[in-house]
Amino acid sequence: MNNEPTISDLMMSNDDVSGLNRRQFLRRAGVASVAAGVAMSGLRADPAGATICGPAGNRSLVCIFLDGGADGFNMYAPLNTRQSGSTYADFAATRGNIAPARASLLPAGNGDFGFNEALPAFAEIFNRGDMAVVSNVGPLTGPTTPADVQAGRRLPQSLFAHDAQARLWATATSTVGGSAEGWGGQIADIVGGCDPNGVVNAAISALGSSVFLSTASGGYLRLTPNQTLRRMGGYDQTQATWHPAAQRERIANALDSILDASDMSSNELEQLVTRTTRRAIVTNAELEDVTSSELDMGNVSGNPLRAQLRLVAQLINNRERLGMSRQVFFVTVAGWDTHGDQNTRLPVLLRDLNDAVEAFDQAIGPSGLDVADSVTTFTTSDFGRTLTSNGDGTDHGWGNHAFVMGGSVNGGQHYGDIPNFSARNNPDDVGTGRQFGGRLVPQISVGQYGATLARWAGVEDSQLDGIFPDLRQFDTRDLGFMAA
Amino acid sequence: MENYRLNVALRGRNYHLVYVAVRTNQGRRVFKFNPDDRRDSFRFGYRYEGGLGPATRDGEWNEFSVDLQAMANRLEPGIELTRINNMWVRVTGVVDVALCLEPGAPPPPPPSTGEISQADAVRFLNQATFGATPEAMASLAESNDLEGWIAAQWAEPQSETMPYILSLPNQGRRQNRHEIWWRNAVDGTDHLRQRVQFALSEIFVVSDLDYVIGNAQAAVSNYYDMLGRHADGNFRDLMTDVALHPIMGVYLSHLRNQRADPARNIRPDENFAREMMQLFTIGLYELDLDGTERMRDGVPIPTFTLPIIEGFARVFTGWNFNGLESMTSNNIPNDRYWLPMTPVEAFHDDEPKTLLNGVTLPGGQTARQDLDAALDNIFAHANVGPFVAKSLIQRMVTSNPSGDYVRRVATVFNNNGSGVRGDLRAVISAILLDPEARSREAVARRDFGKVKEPMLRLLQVWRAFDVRPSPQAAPNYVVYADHIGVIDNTLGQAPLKANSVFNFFSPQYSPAGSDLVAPEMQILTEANLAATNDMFFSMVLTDNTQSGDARPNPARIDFTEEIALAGDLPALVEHLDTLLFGGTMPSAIATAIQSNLSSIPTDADGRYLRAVEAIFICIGSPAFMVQR
Repeated sequence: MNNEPTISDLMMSNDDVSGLNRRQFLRRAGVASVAAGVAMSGLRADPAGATICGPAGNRSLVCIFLDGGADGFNMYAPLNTRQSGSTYADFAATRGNIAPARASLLPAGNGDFGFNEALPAFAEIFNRGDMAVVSNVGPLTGPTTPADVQAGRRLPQSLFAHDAQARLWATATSTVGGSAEGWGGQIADIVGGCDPNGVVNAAISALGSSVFLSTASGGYLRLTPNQTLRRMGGYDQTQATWHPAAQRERIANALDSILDASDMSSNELEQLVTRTTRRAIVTNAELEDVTSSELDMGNVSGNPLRAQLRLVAQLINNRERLGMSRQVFFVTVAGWDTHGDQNTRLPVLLRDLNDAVEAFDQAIGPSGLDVADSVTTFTTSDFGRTLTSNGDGTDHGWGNHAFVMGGSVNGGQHYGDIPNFSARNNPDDVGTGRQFGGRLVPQISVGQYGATLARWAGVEDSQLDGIFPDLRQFDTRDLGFMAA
Repeated sequence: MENYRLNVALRGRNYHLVYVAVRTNQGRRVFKFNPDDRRDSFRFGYRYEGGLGPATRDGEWNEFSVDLQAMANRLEPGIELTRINNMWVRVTGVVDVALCLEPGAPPPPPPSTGEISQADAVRFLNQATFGATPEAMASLAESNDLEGWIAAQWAEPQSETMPYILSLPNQGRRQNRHEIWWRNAVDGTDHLRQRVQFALSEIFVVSDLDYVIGNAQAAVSNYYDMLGRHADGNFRDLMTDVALHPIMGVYLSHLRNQRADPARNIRPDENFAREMMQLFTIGLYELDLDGTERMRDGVPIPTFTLPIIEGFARVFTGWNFNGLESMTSNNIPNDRYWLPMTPVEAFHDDEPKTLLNGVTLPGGQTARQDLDAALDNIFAHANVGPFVAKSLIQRMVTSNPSGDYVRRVATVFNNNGSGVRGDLRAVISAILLDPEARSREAVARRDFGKVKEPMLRLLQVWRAFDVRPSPQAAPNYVVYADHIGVIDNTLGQAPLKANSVFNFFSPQYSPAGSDLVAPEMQILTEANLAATNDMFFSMVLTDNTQSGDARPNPARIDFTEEIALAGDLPALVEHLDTLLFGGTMPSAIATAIQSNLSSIPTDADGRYLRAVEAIFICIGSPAFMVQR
């Protein structure tokens, strides 16, 4: 058993280690070997009694957050279904000029439904059985009907507002001012216990801050694909640079003692910056090599999502070296708030999403890293959009389709009922205002969606209520789209 | 050993979690308690976990008290708690008491003197401008007259960006607009206006990441200049010019927004209607004058409902590019992207509309009548004062202003003393001259100040050390940056280039584990911090006017004065404390500089090394990243 320090040790133990020792730690931690997994209290007990922790139990969740409210109803749409109220004719009559042409849809499964023509890889992965669609998901306090909405009963807070709804999706709660903890981060806190010798936190954002990964212990990493990680000049005297060693040592020693004092600054903002600085020093040293490692995912320059997923693939590829059997990733791409010009803007967004997902699918698939069974990728977004058009775009809705893919997904089908799309007497519509709004009440809660993913990642059923507070309001705790 | 104790009384049937973050003589530790039976454990090298027992979720009142010091000692013998940093309770239920007791109290702040020292001047200038320059610092301290400085600043000619763009053969390049922005920030004399203008651009957000806007850079510069003109004007006029600017019309899609067509299930676009209220003027929840959200039944009271959004969406219909009749033509002259939008009445929704505060607009009004009435309706909302006050305080002075500070500024917004509502000149004075912004007692508070966003951090360095373009810069390189693309990427932000209308960061962003908001921390990620740190490392150690190794293209900063002082380290430290920290340099920085650099000789080469190393140590420190 190798007792190399973890990133937590490095971040937290700053008073007891001299500056010199800490820098030695940094160097040593870069070559940390993997320890055998240890079952720890609070971790999922495998029903068959086998060890879940360790490389054999590798599990990585990848959350793709479509920032702005992606129009999921145009991503997976009716084609040949005869389900009353949900046929293509109903859909097209309501959506008008925003509806994709019927002939353009790419058949999914038996052809009742089809994918947007800009999503050929989605159709392919779905038809291969590795993608599921989860229909009409959104934040809910419990089962909710349009009548409840009309009466103002049991509503999640601040419906239809971007930041509020994105926050409810990320925290799986129904009050904006409530939990600041994301379900991704809480999953990582629990399953990360599998990896006591992991050199970095199990929760990693590939692009900036993420409520989804944030927890009270606050340990998630915030990376950026176009800012290559390298050892920090001044702080880390092992940085490759032409500056003389004596100079580097003077500056590093000075900054070391300043960090120690700043930890205890009487100003709390300074403490927060210090915490990030410490984490930056360690993260950059630990991941410098990983993020510069070879991994071909095609041209990433014009596609931010592809660049982030490449970073994710690099970190998955280095699971063993980093001592991580469990990972929870967050990637995101903005621009989905298609109020105007949707027919121009949405295809571009979908095409980029498709290309990024396709490249990632290949990178982790049999011709690449061959780890698809241990990686599950899923989408979240602020909300679904109005079924109706505002002339050339759509406005803020509520329920939305979500997409889950990976080798452990029971794919090739959708889960949950496809909502009614008709413009008159629609039983799923919020129905506010003088006319039909086309804002659909979700039938599946974010908590149910997240809990299904959390179980796969290794969270015990008894722990789910702590992460997903509204889950107990629903009979179905597992939507079934993940293999055990 | 002193007594550290957690006391909680709560009632709930559900799972709950209690976290306490502490500092110890061996670094940070976090206590985590849940309603299980488990035994105390120590995990991940920093976390103590304990169970409060399943009975704590029996729906009855439960009180518990934990001796944190004793628990820590059971798990890590010899460890000593030195302070409580934070605590959180996560529960669906009722909490009566949640207290962490800590021995001792913080030391009292130093008293104020009333005179404006050079250090005071620097603090003021870092709030009121893009960063103190040595000249401004000296003259402000000498004049001892902040109000006079503010009045003189508003009289300075505005540094505009659009004339420069129009003078170029290729007006469409984003980097030209960014270049003139940086050049104005360094060379302009209207320091105060630019700081307020930049703050307004982070509230009334448009972004040239949008492809239509990205190709209309002259119009974007026009929008930015428009914000600057209103920096000391009336907020109501600013609302009109924002609402009618075609760049905003494109960005939030009310340009060419048309009346409803129920037969085709088409409704008016709600984008601008919503964000004009939510992000620009009143916010999502009703506010007291001190900026506190008003609650009913334990939840904040919404400012508007969906029918009100739909009402405003119908108000903002019928507006087209200036002078154009067709709502679909793609033949749009360049200047129509900056001339104010004009209405085409046939496309305006002239039915009655539900607005805020129970107001209904009558049917049959013109697009302009509706727009004026609707903006009046928003402007009259009680939230505007506290909303604008808090937003601007956060952009200029401090992220967590006291309710009293917000109330004082909001009161001036509501009435400038002459019966005028929305007078921004009066509001800016109220923000900058408030005791909370000025007093040294406030500076000593644990929550005072704001984290500097990367653009402001760079500008403060450039202005403190008189940045100049490199004499060797290749002509195809822009003047102030090595390369605008590089600087955009490194900083992770650029003028009018946010990811969305939600700006680079949210005013409510609160880092994990803190009860404070620190909006700028949202983009100060580990990656960003490393990238900006390395930028400063190269800039200070290499790209200065006295360096023999300066790269040809990047701008140069000037350390003449610091090198001259560097033979006397205490004098150098005192100078940097004033110039860079406004007198708030932590003593650890002074000590670190003196103890690590005193061995460097005091000859010319040695003085150079002492100066650049001391400056980087200051700029690279966490304390420099916080404006206090």
